[in-house]
Amino acid sequence: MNQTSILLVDDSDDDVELTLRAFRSYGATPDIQVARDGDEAIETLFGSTTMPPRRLPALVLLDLKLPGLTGFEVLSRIRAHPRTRLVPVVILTHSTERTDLADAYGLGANSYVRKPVSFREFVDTAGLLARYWLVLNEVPEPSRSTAVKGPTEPQ
Amino acid sequence: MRLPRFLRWSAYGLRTKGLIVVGLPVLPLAVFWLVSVLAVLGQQQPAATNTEARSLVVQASLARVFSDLLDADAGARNFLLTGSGPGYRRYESALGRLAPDLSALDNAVIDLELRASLMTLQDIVYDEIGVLGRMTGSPPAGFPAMGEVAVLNRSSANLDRLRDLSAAMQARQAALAETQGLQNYRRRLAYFFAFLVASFVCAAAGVMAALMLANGVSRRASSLAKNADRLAHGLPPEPLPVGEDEIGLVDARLREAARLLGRREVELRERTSQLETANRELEAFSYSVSHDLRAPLRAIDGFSDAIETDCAAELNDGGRDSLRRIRAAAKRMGTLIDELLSLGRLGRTELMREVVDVSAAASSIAADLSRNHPDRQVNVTIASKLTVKADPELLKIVLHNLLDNAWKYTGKTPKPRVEVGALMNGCVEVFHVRDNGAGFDMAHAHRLFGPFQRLHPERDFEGIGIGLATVQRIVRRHGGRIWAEGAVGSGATFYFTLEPEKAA
Repeated sequence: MNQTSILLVDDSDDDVELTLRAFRSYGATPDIQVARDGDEAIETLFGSTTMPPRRLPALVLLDLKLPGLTGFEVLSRIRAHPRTRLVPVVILTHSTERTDLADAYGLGANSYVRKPVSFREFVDTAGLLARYWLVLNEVPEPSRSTAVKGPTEPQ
Repeated sequence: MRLPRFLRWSAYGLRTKGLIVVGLPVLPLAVFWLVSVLAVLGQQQPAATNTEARSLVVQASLARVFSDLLDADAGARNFLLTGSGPGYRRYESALGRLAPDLSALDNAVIDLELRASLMTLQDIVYDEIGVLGRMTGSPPAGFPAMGEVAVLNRSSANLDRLRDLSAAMQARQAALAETQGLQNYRRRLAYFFAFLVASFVCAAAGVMAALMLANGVSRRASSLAKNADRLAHGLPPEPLPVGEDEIGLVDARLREAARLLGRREVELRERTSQLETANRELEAFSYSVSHDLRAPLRAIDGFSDAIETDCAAELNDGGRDSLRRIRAAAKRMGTLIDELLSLGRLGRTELMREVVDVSAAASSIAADLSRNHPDRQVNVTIASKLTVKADPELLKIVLHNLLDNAWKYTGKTPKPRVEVGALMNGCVEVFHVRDNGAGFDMAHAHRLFGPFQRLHPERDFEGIGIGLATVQRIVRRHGGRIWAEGAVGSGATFYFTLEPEKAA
């Protein structure tokens, strides 16, 4: 299944490991690519001089506090580029700041989820995310979305 | 050109100006009275200085001297005819009166021309005395001898001359008196006119001074008021119209006060910026707390779970219990951090007051609590129609915390009761939440509202001790007050207000 891949952007080894474990514990086995910082996330999505862009993920799980490019910057780049602007982005963070929440939605995040302290809760969270974003939710074809030319495209 | 200080109107204070305004019209009156009083006191000089009185004295003395001589002449003639005693005695007594009358005349005459006439008169009188002496046979030494008829004729001639001279002197004296009277009259008239003119001039000057005073005070006072307004709007004061009165003092004080106020403002701005810095630091801190403290907790919990799952075969009961404890502690710490952060956030969110139905809010919270604790039977009484102007979300947090506490601490009470009500205290409504639960020792009442303070061991009543601190913070943000009454084993009552209580 092409659509079940996830791009997980998180700089914490522990959190990455826990996220992977949570999805596994729930029983979902999506193809999860991991980007350790914002730059790597951009590279993965848009490619670089040495590497062609990969296939677009069905979902981006984005932490806000990242070394280098912050989560907000990554989000705005995703939303700015015609190729990626319709990819669902779920903010997965520790931050309880209301400003972060507002800013994330302001930049076009599709959802904002706090990482729970309890692993059991996190397993539930991961399961819900997988079920909603990878199974229930419908996403436009990436190839189509790139072809769309219209007023919604950034100038 | 600069006038000397004492001539400058602006150099005087309000009091001096006031005195000038009142004093100027009164001054001529005062001078007039002073002069009059001095004149009356000056009347102590002898009455003879008065020319009219003097005229009378001169007239009388002249008449008396003439009548003395007539008497003496008559007595001497009688004696010459009869040689009898009475005639001589008459002559003698008349001569006796003559001396004092003459000297009185001498004293009364002052005018130089009259004094010359007086000398002639005295010569005639002395000649007549000699003539009369001859008539009576006792002439003064050296008096020329003459016959009887010649003596009689000479006496008559002397008396005639005396009469004429006396009349002339009287006329002269009367003329003098008349001149003097006219002079006096003219002087009085001049005095009166001088007084009139001085009064008028001074009154006019007084009115002018009053106008200047009023105008000056009015202009300076309105400038002062304008300056006060400018200062109130943070503008620098303008200079007052020139002057050195008390309004200037007020202005100087105002400027000084403005200067001090300006310094305070600078200090305040500094302090505000320090506070803002501290606030930003606190925000950054709470951000990193939420981010960086929770992350390791997740790892602790998550990897404990990993051990439990991955190493299930190697773990015995003790190991599993330890892992359970680790995970419970991590979860608890997570709750602590979250509560602490939301407590901090309470101080930063904006207060939105609107009318809140307290009864409805409390009922809904109580219903939630009943639903969440289906095993509990709590008798809830909520007074109806309670309303208050407060932030609805924050008020719900207050009610939730207080009712949740009441629920919790009646957990070991046989017939649990919770009551919500309010009473007016003055013009402030005091709300209360009362229970019949575990209560508390009033000696520790001050610790009730401190964050992470607990009056009961956690194993009896679970919780982390942040609820009442949150409640207190919300109540204080509304300008209100919260306090509690209670006793161990007989319940607790929490009272709170949501508006400032005016000092009685």
